[in-house]
Amino acid sequence: MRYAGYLIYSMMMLTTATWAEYKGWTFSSVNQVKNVPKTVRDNPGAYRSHYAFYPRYVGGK
Amino acid sequence: MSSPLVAPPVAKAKAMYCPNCGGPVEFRGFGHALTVVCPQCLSVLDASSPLLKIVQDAQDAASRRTPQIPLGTRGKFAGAAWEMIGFQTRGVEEDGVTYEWEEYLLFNPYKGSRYLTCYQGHWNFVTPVESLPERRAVGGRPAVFFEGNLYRHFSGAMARTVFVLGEFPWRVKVADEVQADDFVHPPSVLSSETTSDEVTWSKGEYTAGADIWKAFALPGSAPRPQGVYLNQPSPFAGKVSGSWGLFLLMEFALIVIAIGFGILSRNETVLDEHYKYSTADRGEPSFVTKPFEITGRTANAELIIHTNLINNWAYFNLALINETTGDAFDFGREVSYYTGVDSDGSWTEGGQSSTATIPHVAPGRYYLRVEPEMEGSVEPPVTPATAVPAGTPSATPSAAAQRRPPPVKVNTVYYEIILKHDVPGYGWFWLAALLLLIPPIFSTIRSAAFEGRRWSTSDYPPTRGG
Repeated sequence: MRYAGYLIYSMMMLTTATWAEYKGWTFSSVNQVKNVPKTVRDNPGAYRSHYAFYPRYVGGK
Repeated sequence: MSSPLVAPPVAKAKAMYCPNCGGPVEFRGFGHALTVVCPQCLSVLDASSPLLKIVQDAQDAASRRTPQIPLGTRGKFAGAAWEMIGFQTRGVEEDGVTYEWEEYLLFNPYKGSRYLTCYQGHWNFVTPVESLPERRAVGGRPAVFFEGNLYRHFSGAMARTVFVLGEFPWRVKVADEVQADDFVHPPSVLSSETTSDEVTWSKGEYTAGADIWKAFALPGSAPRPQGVYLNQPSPFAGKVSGSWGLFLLMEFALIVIAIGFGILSRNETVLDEHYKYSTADRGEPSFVTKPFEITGRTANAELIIHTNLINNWAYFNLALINETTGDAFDFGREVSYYTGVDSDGSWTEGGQSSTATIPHVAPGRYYLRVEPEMEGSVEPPVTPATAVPAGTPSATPSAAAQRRPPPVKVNTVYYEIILKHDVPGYGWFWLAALLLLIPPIFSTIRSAAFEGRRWSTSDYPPTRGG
């Protein structure tokens, strides 16, 4: 078939996009953490976020 | 007793002798020849006379060209048997450079004459045209209409005969000149040759050299074509429009799927709370929300933070924690919004809201850990509103939302956190839509480059930016 390559490529794009949307994949930077202790519920300060030490923007023009 | 086998008669060349050198001159054209060239001394002879009168003295030996298809070679091509009986090279001169091509005269006693032309490995099978093409102009350029197709003028020049060999059913000699014009409609070319007496038209069809080698059983293989020839069929012909058609079809399918996702996604709000944070508050700034239930299928979640920040920033460390399994999605979002007026006018930077998308959130019971941060101030003024402990949902969310922002240095932020599950996100569809563009764009560029190379040798070379 004349456009077999493009057709296969297109179907792959469609399938991947549909699957990614269905599974809720994102480009966001989100860390998955396992076994967060239940004590966090009572003592939120005991949990340290992975992002707690990132530099903050304090800009403005 | 069987009768003796009788072989079919084989046409043989008639031989005469050159009046210049006395060498034998063969005739293969069944008396159609008007011009014949002595293969020894290269004198051009008048074949209409039994005495073979010399029309042109012997050609310079240095001008001798060797035909790729030897004289007398027979082969079957285009549905008929042909014998190569005449060969000539002609050329045009441009900017002091002579561009030569070869012409092979093929003869069949029932079909008449046809031609094969060759230029730098590009071959054409040429047939004389009986009807006159209709002259037209397209975009200010000459064109002709013939057999339902438009042929665009490619080039025109004085073509000069450089070398002749064999026999020809017309009068020909070295240094003959005609005005030659080519009109193209790949893989066809219409050529006109204009002299003071007449205009003759012929139609050529681009032919692979390998087919000619096979038809005439030539030794070796056909020389590799160089460059792009004027009527060489584009390998991308039809592919460009076809790929764009397929692209539109796939984009339509993508839109349908995206709309389907938009309809079927639950887009359920599982948390919507208002909070306040002030650097004046003492104690631990982090807190957890009340638990909430996420139901349905495993899907993304979207967390939206609306703030009342002006000329300030706040950072939120966030963790969406599954109360049962202890699995968490840990992420952070900065919200900053600055505005002002300077010599250029008013300006803004950033925004008062931020959104985070959390992938692959399974159903379950969750809570959110929130840890807001702001630039610390020494002694922020305490207002009745800031007296509310950190993480305490605002008693009157609508009132809080409408509250005007405090002065910049107070470093207090009122914010709303909304968490939605199974949110229709179209990012992947946008990405797919862009990726689908690559093949047709690539195909279009390659096709345009091929046509650019074709027309670069024409009288109408493409110009940059035009």
